[in-house]
Amino acid sequence: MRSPGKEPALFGSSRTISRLSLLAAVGIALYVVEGYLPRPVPWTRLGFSNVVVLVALVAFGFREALAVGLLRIVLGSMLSGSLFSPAFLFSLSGGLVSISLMGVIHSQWKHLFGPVGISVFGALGHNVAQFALAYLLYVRKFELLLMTPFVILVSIVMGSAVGAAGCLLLEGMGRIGIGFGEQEV
Amino acid sequence: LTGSAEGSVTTDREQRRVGWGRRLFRLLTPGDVALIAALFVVSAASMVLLRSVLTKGTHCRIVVGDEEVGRYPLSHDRIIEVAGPLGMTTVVIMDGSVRVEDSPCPHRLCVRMGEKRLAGETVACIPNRILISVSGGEEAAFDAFAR
Repeated sequence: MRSPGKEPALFGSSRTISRLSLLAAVGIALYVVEGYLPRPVPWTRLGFSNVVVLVALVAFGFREALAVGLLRIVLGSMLSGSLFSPAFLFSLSGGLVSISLMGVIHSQWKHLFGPVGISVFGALGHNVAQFALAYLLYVRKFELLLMTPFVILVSIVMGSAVGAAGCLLLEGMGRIGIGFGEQEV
Repeated sequence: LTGSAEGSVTTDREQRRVGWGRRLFRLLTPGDVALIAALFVVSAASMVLLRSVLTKGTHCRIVVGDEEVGRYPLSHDRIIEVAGPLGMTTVVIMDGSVRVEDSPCPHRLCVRMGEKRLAGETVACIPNRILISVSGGEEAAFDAFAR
């Protein structure tokens, strides 16, 4: 709780800050571990680390989710050795579009979509942003559109998986009493 | 489950007894289900649409570096050995499609790219500097659209 008369901190109480740091740390760990998994195509990731962004968004809010997401991207890239490489650029653009889209969906259509729906939107935004960037930077070819059905399918599958994981994480956080930001004392 | 049937409030213990599948299903709102269904439809529709927009190729062009080494009709099955900086890449034309059968490059992504048969599709082996592009009757109109 913010005490009256004091300058409001950027992210509320130190309790919130510690929880956001915890989420960011989990996200970074997931990001790095995910990098060791075998991948069918280089440059691709399953995107499981986005679960922390989803949880931060639902439990805390857009600003907090943005902070967790940016921390995850920058520190994760640093640890996996791809900071400021093209892969980092892809990660950053995908992450920013994904978080913004999830934030809009969460604030505007909260009654329509649960965490799974928000996460599917996030995955779709992430993939579309990366394909748009790939088109702009590398392959200026119309054939990239051939990947559309595949991109949508992957977004559905991974978005749902991340959303379901996020739901379970939120539930578990609620159960041990570390969820839902400032409301809960 | 008897406790949860009586009251709307369920305890953690009762909630844990509900199966994982049921719990995950409860996490979906009607909006989520509609979104996923709609995306499946869009995905299937775009697949059909893109297949019909793109036409079958009639020829393939093989370029090594900046130099065109040949143009081959896809109607005639053949095996072509293409020399690149790393060595010989084996290109196979079969049943109206072209693919890289074997390549001396380290990751062999070009082999994994599979067969290409639509106008405008390409197979590239960047390490060996080989580019194989399929072209067809509709190519001119297609290029105009792409620009």
